[in-house]
Order: sequence, then C-alpha cells, then structure tokens
Amino acid sequence: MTPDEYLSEQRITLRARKAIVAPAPGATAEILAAIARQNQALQLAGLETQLDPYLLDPVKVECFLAGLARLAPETTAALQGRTLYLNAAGLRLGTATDLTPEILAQGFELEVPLEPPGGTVQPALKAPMDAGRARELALLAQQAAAAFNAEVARLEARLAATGEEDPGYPPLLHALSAAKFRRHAAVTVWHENVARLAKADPQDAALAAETSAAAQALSAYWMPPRTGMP
Amino acid sequence: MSDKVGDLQHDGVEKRDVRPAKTEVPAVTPGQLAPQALGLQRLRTTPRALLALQGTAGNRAVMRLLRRTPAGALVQREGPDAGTPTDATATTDTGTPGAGTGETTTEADRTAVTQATAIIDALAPDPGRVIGAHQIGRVQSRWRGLNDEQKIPMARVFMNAASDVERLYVFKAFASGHTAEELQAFGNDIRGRDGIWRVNNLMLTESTTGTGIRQQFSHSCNITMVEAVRGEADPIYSLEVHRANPNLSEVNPDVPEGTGAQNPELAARQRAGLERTYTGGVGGGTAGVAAPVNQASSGEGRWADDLLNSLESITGSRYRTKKRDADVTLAQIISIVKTNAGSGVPVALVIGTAADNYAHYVLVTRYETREPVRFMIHDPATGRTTSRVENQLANDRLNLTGGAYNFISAVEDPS
Repeated sequence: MTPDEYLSEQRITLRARKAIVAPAPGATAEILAAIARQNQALQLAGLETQLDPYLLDPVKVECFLAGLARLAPETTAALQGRTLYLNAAGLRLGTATDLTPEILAQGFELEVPLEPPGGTVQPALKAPMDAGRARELALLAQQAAAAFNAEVARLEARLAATGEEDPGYPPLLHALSAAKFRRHAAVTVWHENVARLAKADPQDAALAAETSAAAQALSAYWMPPRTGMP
Repeated sequence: MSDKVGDLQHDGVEKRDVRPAKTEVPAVTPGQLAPQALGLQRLRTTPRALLALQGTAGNRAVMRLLRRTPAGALVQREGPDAGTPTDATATTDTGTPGAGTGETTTEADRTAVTQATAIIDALAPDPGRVIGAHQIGRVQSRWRGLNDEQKIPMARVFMNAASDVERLYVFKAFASGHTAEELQAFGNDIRGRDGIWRVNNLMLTESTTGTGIRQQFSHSCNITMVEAVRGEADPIYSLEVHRANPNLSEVNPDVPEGTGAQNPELAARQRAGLERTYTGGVGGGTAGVAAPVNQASSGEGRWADDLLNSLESITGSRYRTKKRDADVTLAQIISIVKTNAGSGVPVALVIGTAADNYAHYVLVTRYETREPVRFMIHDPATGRTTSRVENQLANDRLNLTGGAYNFISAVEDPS
C-alpha cells in the first residue's frame, strides 16, 4: 500500500506548518513540496541545516509516511480522520534529531494522544535512538552555541558604541537579532539531544550535568519563534 | 543588554505612577477652581449646567457638585484623594442597587437616573487609562439606548460607587455590555480597593510592576493579545482572569498545561483560541498549533482578526488586517496607531524580523501624548509592557521580545 493509499483509506490529513494537505492521490508529493518551500523560507544564514530545529527533513518525512501503513491497527484507528502534524516535537522528523531514515525504515510505533481541540494530532514516535548521532549533534550544537554567543557579545559591544540615531544602528540591531536566533537554535538542538541521551542513561552524571547546563543556556538565551503567520 | 526572559528592564518599562489621583482621575485637579469662582451656588444639577461646568472644571468638579445636592446622599463621600476608598459608614440604604426587581420607582431612583445622566453626558477622557474617548462614546450610546425602567438599576450602581474612580470602572464595564446585576457584583468587588489593587486587577496589561498577561504557548501571542484587548475594555473580564490565574505574567516553558503549569486555566483558554479554525480575512490563514515555549519549532501561529472581531459587542471595534507595503505604508500604520490608541482603542501590531515577516503580535495599549510622547506596548511573549518612541517604530528598531523583532509588518486596523 502506498502512503497516499493509506492516507486516503484512513482519511488522514497531513499538516506541515501552514500547509494542510487532504488525503488524495499525490498528497505525499504535495506535502514534501510544501516542506521544501518552507525550509527555503525558514533557512537562517550562517546556521547549519543540521543545527536548525525549525527545518523538517524531507527524507525522514518520506520514510515516516511510508511506514504508516505498518502501524498497529489500534494506532491507525487512533489516527483515523484526523490531521497528522508532521512538525510535532515527538515525531522528531526535523533535520536536527538523531532519528535516521534507516531507523524509520526498520519500523516504528506511534503514541497518539487524545484529540486536543482543533483536531490536529501530535503523536510521539517510538523507535530506537541513534546515540552516536545524538552525541554528535549535541557536541556540534554546543560548540556552535559558544561561537554564536561570542558573535552576540561582539555585536552588543558595537551596538553600545553606536548612537541610536546613527544610520549604522538599525543594521547592527538587525544583525544582533539574527545572531541571537542562531544562538537560540544551537542551544535548542544541544538541549534536545543531550536531554534524550540523559533520559536513556539516567545513571550518567556527566550527561545529567550537561543537560542541566544546556537547560540553563536555553533559558538565558531564550528567543521567540521564527515562525508565526503566513 | 540582557537577554533573559522576564529581564527586559532595558526595554524601558515605565512603572506607572499608581497614585490614583495622579493616574486615574480626570484632568482638572480637585480644588483647582474655587466653587465660588464658578458660581456653583447658582448651578442646578441639570445636564446642561453640568456640561458647562465640566467644560470649565472637569469631571471631578461635576461629581463634587452632585454630591452637594440633596440627592447626594446617594453618593458616598470621598476623601480629598478621588482614588481613596470612601468611608463605608457614609453609605445610606436609599437607592442601594439591586434592592429588588419590581420595586416601585422612588424619587431617589429618578434622582439617581438624572444624576447618572448628567455625569455620563459630562464624561471626558481622563489622562490616566481608566476610560478613553472611545469607551465614553459607548457609555453614552448605551445609556441613551435604555428606557427609564432599564436605567434605574444601572443608575443605582453608578451612584453607589464609592469613589469617582470606581465609578469610571463601573462605566467601563457598562460600556462592554454587562447587566445591572453584573455591574452591581462588580461594584461590590471593587468597593474600597486602592489604586494599586485596581491597576493590578482590572486590566491585563501594565501592572504597577510593568507586567501583564503572558502567552502560555510558543505561538499563542495572537489569543493573548486578544485577551489583553478584552481586558482593556472590560474590567470584569480582567478581574475574572486575574482571579483564575494569579501568576498570569509567568509561564512554565516546558509544561504549559496540567501538573506543573503556571496558569492551567489561562492555558486552556489560549489553546482553544490558538487552535480555533481561522475565519478571518487574511488569505491562507489557518488555525495555529499549541506547543510549549521551549518547543517553539513545533508550534504555529495564526492571524487574529477573527478573534478580535468576535469581541465586537464588547469592544465596539471591528478590526481589519493590513499588511505593511501590500495594504498600507509604515507611516500610515503609525498614524492608525496614534489615532486609535490615542482615543483609548488598543491597536494590535504584527512584528517580525523584516517588513514582510509576520512573526508576533504585540498590543499598543496607549499613545501617550504628554511628554515624553511614547507608545505603550504590551508584549505577550514576555508579559511586560514597555514604551517606544515614534522614531523607533518608524525606523525599524523596535528591539522587542528579547531583541528578536525590529520591524512592524502589519496592523489590525480598528478604524
């Protein structure tokens, strides 16, 4: 059974951010095209794709959709007639997660929550963790966060030395905003990956300490969303 | 410059002067003009005479005069500070609101209606933020639309207010459409409360510490802004929200709902609003998706014109989304803000990282024309009210929401 056939049979609508695709022939291609457009629009200059929590990985999404037909009957029943939100944090289909197409190809299960108001369902995916990839992402993200933090400090120092009415002030302010978004993205990826590792190995004190440090950084470097209205 | 959530003092939060007499009462200082100089002894409490007095001496002079009339027994005596709660022992039973429906109309009732009419006709915008020109118009319009029988229970509530400032809040609640019974309960709720309590409970923005309602999800700025708009119009709603959510300026960034959440009731309201099917006028608009603040990459926002317009009977305003450049210039947006916020109509702005980036709703609650001229802006993401000057709006250097957003990209135009 193709993903499109499964979606049509179970009347499952797909959603990726604002793109909502009703079950029909070509639905998979349509949602993948929408994701490609969204990724292009969301890309943040100077931030590696694998460190950007806002981007969905089209290959992972394709593997995920292909695997839906193999879900347990009760899981399929829970998804029936609903809108499946591909950006759900629990699905981990983004570019910055340890989940790989290979893991998805081996099969997975979904934990489907009770329907919240609005009918959009955000399931959690149950599949083995790629600890090596999670460790690699956490390390890369931590290093990137430190570099972006230094960039923020440099820009703040320049801004402080520039008068508000100086023509150079607005561009500096805008550059500072972008640098803060990069820093926040990196810190988010660091925290998400190290927290997953720590959850998988609760006895590891070093991982627990690193998770705590990442959480503190996430709070200190908080930024609002990069997405909003279309 | 700090980046921490809730540590945005650098944004210029100006803690309000909460002395009631300075912030919440009409423009004319009590005692500014001696009664003799105004010839008060000869004045009668006719609407025309009171209007004339209001024009020269302000709302409070009118209210003082009314208290000197024989029917002034209905009005509790206030201390020298209009915001000071009145000695409750001064209350008389005559005209007590809600004394029972079907009562025979008394002379006191008729007097109360006359007095209320005079006060309502003479209302003028106060320089604080209790009531603006827009809401005064709604008070007057609703009052004129009532028949005498309907006016009596309302007038009882109005004239039973313990102070002029309390009365202004009751007028606000009246303007937003509440019944006499609701107004009476509200009047009792606020009786004798001081100015700090009123500021911190009867609005959802700009508390005495510069805080206000905060979004409980990563993308619920839209519905939070709408809640703030409603709170600006309706003090009864504000009080309800405060009572149900004592920590409404806080958020648990990981757990917005259920055990561990700061404001479960507020979160439930916000999820419902955020994920409500979009029915507004912006092409491509959809319902949002709720996610915890720390999982912002999983959430989605929504336009809020439909949510705002669902409150039209309460606010008296109908909003239309206008995108910068596509529908309107930045200068025109600023003009819309000045005109409306200046008359007490809050204006929602959409801000972002570029002129065509529609990331986040904030609410301009006031356009302060006294020096320093500035816009008071409530940011749902931080739960803080900050001020900005026109240059910052006009030159894309808003520096709001932790330094994330500098551009105004759209406006919800209530014009």
